[in-house]
Amino acid sequence: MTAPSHDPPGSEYALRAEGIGKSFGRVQALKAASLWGEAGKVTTLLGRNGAGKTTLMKIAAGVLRPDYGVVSLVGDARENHSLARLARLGLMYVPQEQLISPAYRVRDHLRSLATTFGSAGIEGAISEMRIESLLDQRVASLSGGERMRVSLALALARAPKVLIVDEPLIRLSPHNQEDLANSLRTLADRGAAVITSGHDARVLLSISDVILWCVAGTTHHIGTPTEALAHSQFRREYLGSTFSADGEPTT
Amino acid sequence: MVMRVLILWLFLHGASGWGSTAMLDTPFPQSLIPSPTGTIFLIAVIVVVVRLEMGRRSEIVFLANLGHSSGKIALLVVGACILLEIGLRAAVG
Repeated sequence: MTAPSHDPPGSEYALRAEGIGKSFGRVQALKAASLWGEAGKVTTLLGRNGAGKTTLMKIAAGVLRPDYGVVSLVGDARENHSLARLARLGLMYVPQEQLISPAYRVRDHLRSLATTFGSAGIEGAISEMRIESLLDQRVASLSGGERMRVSLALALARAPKVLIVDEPLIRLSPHNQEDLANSLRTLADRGAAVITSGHDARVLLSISDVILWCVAGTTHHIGTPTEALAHSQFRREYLGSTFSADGEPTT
Repeated sequence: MVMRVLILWLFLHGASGWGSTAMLDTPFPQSLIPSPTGTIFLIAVIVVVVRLEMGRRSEIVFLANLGHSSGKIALLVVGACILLEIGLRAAVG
């Protein structure tokens, strides 16, 4: 196995969560795990269910407090960040459950965002994510794919320095998965550090620049998607023997 | 959020006022004004209920993404309650 996560020398990270440990009662969810986000790149956290991906992302986003470790956003390093503070510094977090409230209409969310951060990117984000027809609907009436499109429209409009999206492709059709994955790529191409996770390895590998492998509560820097596909232990223990990046099962 | 605070505040004051009139024979509308300890207790209940309701409706994470901390939200709720308490005391005299 690769040595536990050491960042490449000279790299400039928008977000760094380093040496993170977290226990829930007697269960140690994370031990010395790290997560980095680099401007203009998509970093994908892959790992089996229960490996600690969501816990690590929540800690990096300031939603959960770590037992130990430091989270640093654009140079502001603290042991206990809050999401509100990180958001003011330029982070946006889209949780696995949902970012948007079922109590309100889509338009209300966009209006709140515009009030806080300005309305410059709102119209572009609406047309880019094709949510014009959803604006006056209540979130409770939207499908999972539509909710994620609205969440990503908010992210596009916000243009955050760092976007953390936990399992955005879950429960989506293959076509919607590719659409949303491309939106994450677009955000990174515009300069954001995008950090995501999931199990849809083929789609995620196609848009990622950096792969982190979360296993047994810690993380390993696997490298580029090409390096990940060539990593025998990662292939054997996570991707499985029949995985193929082009979608055709190998024999 | 303001509507939630207003509805809770009206409901809790109505209930405590009714209880105070029924059990302690406090005349109406003076019964609507709780004791200082009661006021603090009612405001604490409103803060907790609003916080739980906002968490249930995924509003906390959305507002945090806009830079609004839970502490700031709680302060706003407390502020709204204090204004309502001042208004009530002025109205009752």
